Amino acid sequence: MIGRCRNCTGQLTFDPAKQMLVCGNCGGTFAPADYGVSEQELLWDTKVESLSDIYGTDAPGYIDSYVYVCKSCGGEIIINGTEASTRCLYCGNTAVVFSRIAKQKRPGYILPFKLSSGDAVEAVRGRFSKGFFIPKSIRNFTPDDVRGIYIPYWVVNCFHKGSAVVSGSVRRGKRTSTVYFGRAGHMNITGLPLDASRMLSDDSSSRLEPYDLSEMTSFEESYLLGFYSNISDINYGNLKGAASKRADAYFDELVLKSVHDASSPCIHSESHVTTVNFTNMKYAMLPAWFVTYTHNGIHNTVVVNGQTGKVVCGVPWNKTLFFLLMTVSGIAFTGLFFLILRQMIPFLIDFGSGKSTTACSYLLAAVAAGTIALFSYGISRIRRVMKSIDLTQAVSIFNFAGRRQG
Amino acid sequence: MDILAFIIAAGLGFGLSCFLFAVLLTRSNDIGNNVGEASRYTVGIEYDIITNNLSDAEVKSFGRGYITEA
Repeated sequence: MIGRCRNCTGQLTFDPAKQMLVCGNCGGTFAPADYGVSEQELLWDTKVESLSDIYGTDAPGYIDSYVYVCKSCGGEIIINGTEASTRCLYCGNTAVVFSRIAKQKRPGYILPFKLSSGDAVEAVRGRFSKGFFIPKSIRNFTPDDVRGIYIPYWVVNCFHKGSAVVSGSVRRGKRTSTVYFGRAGHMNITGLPLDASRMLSDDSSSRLEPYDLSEMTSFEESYLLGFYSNISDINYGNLKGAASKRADAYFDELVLKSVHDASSPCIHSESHVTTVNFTNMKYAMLPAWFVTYTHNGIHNTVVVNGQTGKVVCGVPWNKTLFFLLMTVSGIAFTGLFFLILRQMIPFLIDFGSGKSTTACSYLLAAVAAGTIALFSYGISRIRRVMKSIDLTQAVSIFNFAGRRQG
Repeated sequence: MDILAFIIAAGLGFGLSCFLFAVLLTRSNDIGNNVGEASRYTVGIEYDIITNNLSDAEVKSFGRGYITEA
């Protein structure tokens, strides 16, 4: 499909600020819902051919792509197996593969982009400017690529039933003991968005939430003009697995909140079952910007929620600054604690040898446990940041955004 | 005595420093690392069984048979 202006045949693109289709030539605007249904139908018979069939590149190591001809300039448009819209490499026009949308399940809803590409880059810059450990070269990054992609989602309702045993610490007199709490119940989950693209990891897509799904509108191909999009390529099994994983996490979160009489509650054992209501799922396309930049020769892909502007990424950190400040601060804290303990320890030892050895050893054990806890918590946080950076630098997310024509 | 004080102080000092800077690093460089909260998608759990102070035997058997009732 080529979105043409009815007045001057100029190229139309969807403008997130105006929420209208805007002609790049004469500036004419059209409501997406009113635009050219008849024109779309004429193009549904666009022939899409397998790249292997045309060029004979059917080596098993390659993923097959599909080729069709741009209606605007006659150039070849190459798409992968799940793309529903792309841009022509030669003339820049948006091409929507209507035959693909028509033959496969057509999305019922779409959440139109609210942020333009400029807004998305500004959101990233704004967030980067607040990062103390973000290197200056990244703060002043120049994007290699900015792509607006509609990600396919299934919005599902499900019923979740589960039981869990929670363990927690309870103080009784001078002693602390572990107590177990049992919880069993059920809950209904409604409007849970689940990423329906296997090419994009669930870890990345779930962080884009929350989307305000009340702003979804009926799907019209016109909303895709100017953007890329994919169709769903997961099956019911994948969907059930993803729903179950999210529902389990929510169940555990709520169960832990229900235990008030213990400190540090954690799940000891659990069992769950999730039943997805497959009859009233909504197939929707939700917007996201993928901003790619290169740092030290490595591609980083920042994802921005196309509706709310939420920025999702892990940013490489200035390790020299981090470890320098941590060491200096560590030395300062050590000096401070040394001055305090130097006064306290003789008292504790005397106190211990004189009256109560147990009190002294408890205190030393508590200090040792506190030290271990501080290191463990700190290291787990650092590992979490590194995991986020790995996700941002993952080849899969770079390919999802970058391996597209135009 | 001073050596013992120094060893404990170093552990606590560097542990506290590690903790503080890890929190700062998370705030600075781990951006948007959260998913939609449970309250957004559910009104909550309707509990059928709530038991506190389970014995060891009850811990092992708790919830047995409950899921299959779905």
